[in-house]
Amino acid sequence: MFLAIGERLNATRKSVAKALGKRDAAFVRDEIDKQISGGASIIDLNGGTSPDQEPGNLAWLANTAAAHCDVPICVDSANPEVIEAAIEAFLKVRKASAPDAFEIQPGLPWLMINSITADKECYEVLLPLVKKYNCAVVAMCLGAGGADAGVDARITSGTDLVARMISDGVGVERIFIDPLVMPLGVDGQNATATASVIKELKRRYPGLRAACGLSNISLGLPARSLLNRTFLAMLIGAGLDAAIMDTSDAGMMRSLWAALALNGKDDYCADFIKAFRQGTLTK
Amino acid sequence: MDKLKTFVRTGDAPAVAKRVTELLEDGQEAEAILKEALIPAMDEVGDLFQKGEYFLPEMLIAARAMKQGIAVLRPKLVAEGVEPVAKVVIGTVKGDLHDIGKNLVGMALEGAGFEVIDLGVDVPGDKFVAAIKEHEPVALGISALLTTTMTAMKDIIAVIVEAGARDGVKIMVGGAPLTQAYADEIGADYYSETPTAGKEFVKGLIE
Repeated sequence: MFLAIGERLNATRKSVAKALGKRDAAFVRDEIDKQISGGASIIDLNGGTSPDQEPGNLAWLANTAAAHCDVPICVDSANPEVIEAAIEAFLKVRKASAPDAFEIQPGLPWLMINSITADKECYEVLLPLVKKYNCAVVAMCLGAGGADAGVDARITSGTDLVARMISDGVGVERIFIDPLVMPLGVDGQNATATASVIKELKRRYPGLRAACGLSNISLGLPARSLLNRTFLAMLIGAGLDAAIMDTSDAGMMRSLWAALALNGKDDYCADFIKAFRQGTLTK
Repeated sequence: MDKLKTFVRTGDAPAVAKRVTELLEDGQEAEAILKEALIPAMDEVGDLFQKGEYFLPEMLIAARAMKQGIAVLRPKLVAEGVEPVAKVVIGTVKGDLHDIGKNLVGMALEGAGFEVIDLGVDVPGDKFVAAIKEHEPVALGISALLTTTMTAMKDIIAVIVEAGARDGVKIMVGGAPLTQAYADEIGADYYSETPTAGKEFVKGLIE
């Protein structure tokens, strides 16, 4: 199953930062509902307004989401230190229904951490959490060369990270490799580079899944929504399994349903036809 | 000169190099070519980008075209004894590897005629201090893209103050997670949401 991870509850959006400041739970619930009805199977939560506010924000978001719905969350922070507290806040409410199994339905993890890197401080904090909470994790192909390292460097850092996680006891099915998306406006090969990294890493590790954000591809370009959704279709062709995306964007979701059907990921085109009957493909 | 400006605006690097050569052969002074064609054209490109009329690849190829022109001019500029307007040092903080925003700031500044010393990414405080002492820039630009790395700005400014290198230089900060409030809190002199706005601030400093 393809996992659409709803990206809207991110503190870099001004409306979200404002809601976090006021602890506006109604706003958060509304954003969650909007994303689920659009087709999100996981809700990403990012509370990074400022370093001192982030731990409280993220825990509050996790707690609010747990109280409101049964959808898994993706705990999103660049600071590994704040993730455990957010998971605990989530479990305070969701504990009764917390599964012993990793998945709550085939292909859908009960919880996701976004994201782990090979960086010592990050890896040593987050790897034990992935094992302790029996959850999925996004793993970034980020090596010493930085985010704009070439295809080969990203494949090498991705391979090293996945190999290390597996040898440390994390099953490959729990890992979502993030190929890193760099803007097309900076280099015309950046979209194909993303696709190449996904293809090669999935070839090397059968069972590995790939996940990434989409909007970075269109930075500094016009008609961003068109580029983002066409990029999604392209990456699904390369083997993308999950995307951090705006599921309330109807055009984006239409491209998703069509791309899944065209790439042989929607048996009998059942989901595509279902989306048509619900009116979401045409309205 | 108008032709040259058009070639910069459309990012045609070979045409820029050729036109600069032609103008020099016609007896134009290198300084005039720089200040009356290359800089105004690139300045205009920066403004168009900021207004949302130009897009990222257009800005990048225009900057590359301007660089080609300057490469042809450089020996003549040195011979004429032309100095850059002023120097600006830029870099991304320690722990952060993002460089697109910083590069755009650098391009806009170069386009406005400043000499830009780019320290790259993952730059620690002492390296900023060393660059201030070596180059004596009018301004220093610090970039960070993550909430976790933006705190390094505060530490870097503290290191600069401690090294006694703060007085002669204005500090500009930028990056997605920043706000004016945070810039004020850490004692920066300037903050802008857009990468190309910094050049106006630096222009103001030398007037």
